[in-house]
Amino acid sequence: MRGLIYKDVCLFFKGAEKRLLLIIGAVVVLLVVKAGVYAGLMASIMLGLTMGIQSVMNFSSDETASWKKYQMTLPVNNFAVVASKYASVVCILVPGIIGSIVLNLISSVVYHQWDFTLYGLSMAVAALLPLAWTAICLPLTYWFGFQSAQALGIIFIFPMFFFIKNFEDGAGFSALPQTVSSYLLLAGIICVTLFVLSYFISVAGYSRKE
Amino acid sequence: MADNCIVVQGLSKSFGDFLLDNVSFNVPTGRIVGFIGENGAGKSTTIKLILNELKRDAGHIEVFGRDNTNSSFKNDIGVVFDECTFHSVFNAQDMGKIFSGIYPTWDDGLYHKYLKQFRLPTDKPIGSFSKGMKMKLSIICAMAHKPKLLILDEATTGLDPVVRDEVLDLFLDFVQDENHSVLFSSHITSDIEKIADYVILIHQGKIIFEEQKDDLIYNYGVVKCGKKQFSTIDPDDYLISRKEKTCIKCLVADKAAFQKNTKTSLLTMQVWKILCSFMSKEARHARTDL
Repeated sequence: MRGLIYKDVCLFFKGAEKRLLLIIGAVVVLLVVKAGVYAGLMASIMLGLTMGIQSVMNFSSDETASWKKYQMTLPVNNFAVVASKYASVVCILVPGIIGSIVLNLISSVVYHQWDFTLYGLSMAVAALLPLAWTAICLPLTYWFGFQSAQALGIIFIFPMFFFIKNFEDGAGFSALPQTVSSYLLLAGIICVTLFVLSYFISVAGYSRKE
Repeated sequence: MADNCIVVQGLSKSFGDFLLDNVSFNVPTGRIVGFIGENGAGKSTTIKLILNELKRDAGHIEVFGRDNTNSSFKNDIGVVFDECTFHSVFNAQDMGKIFSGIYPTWDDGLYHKYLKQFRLPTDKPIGSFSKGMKMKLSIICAMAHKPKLLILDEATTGLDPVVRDEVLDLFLDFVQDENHSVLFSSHITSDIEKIADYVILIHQGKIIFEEQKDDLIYNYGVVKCGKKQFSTIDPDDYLISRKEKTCIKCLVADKAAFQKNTKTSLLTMQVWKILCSFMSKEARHARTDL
């Protein structure tokens, strides 16, 4: 299983879409200019979403390379194969959290404000979003193929977009940390529960045979 | 040491209009078994069933003396498909690290020895490799954990003659250890001719014959007869027939006995050309009672 985790983590970094990274870079710059001291938090949300999307894209590349056909010949059982996917997502949370700290540092340096609540929130968001994304998309990939996960992923982006837009147009970004922190514990519990349940649904989907 | 590393008995599997019908054969330990048949004959389906990638409808499969649903045998096998299934962004170094974390018996020294022997770069992405390089890497990865059995599904398809010879030599080296065996599926009969000890011919989901290569060369033959004469031949006396414009050709297991019993003319064809002619896409008529 160690080899499969290495494979997925390595694929995450090597297979990252360069164009996507450029877009993210541009959005981060835009956020720093527009969102003020909250830029770090906003950019962390963006980073979390991107990492979730990238993980799901990696799962699809297994289909493209016919890796699954080969994987079934390896001495690894179905539970370990699926567990390696989930474990690889947990592994990439570390660079995600580091990234959110860096993004907050940039925003703090630019605006000379050091609000450590924002740092905490950003780190939590950077950790929870990839977990939630994987929990939803991976079972779909194993049961209905990658395209269903991709379609649902796109649908999932809209509420996130309107959530942020709502703060921008209404209460303002300053209300965002308070709202996020009040739901953080609940969101964390839901994410972790969903992540664990999703593993068993994925194993059932992966183990199906013609 | 078990006599057979793979035992397949009464294996059946249906997919829509395709039926793998009561397939039985053995892969003796220490031997290379060529598994031949035209595209769509059922070779890959049989291999997937052996690897327990598909659910069988009926029959029994043993690998190293255990039912193949017990996946412990996968530590001792190496599998190569007709295409490289590795991600194009990885390089040979990455593949070594991946497999070293999967196979407890992975030998990194042996892996690098093979990479050097086959002149494969360790730092270039697999996506930049030629078809031949990709197949060589697939074969090396299948061998570097020191398996006892190699299962090759059309692994030499699309390789140029030079690379093909290199790869076939590697398989011959592999079976120098008499505990090692190879099941080698191909529709390229020249590859089978070069390295196989046993040959199994599958046609439209049925096993036509399972023979030692030497028996195939010395005893098997093709006879040619007219339609009228063909109707007088007992179907038990030939394995498979093929209608042509002016005659009917029959593959027989004992050419001497057949000629003695019937007044047909024996074609002086090499056995491999015979097999090729029966594997062509033109009209084939396998005996239905096989």
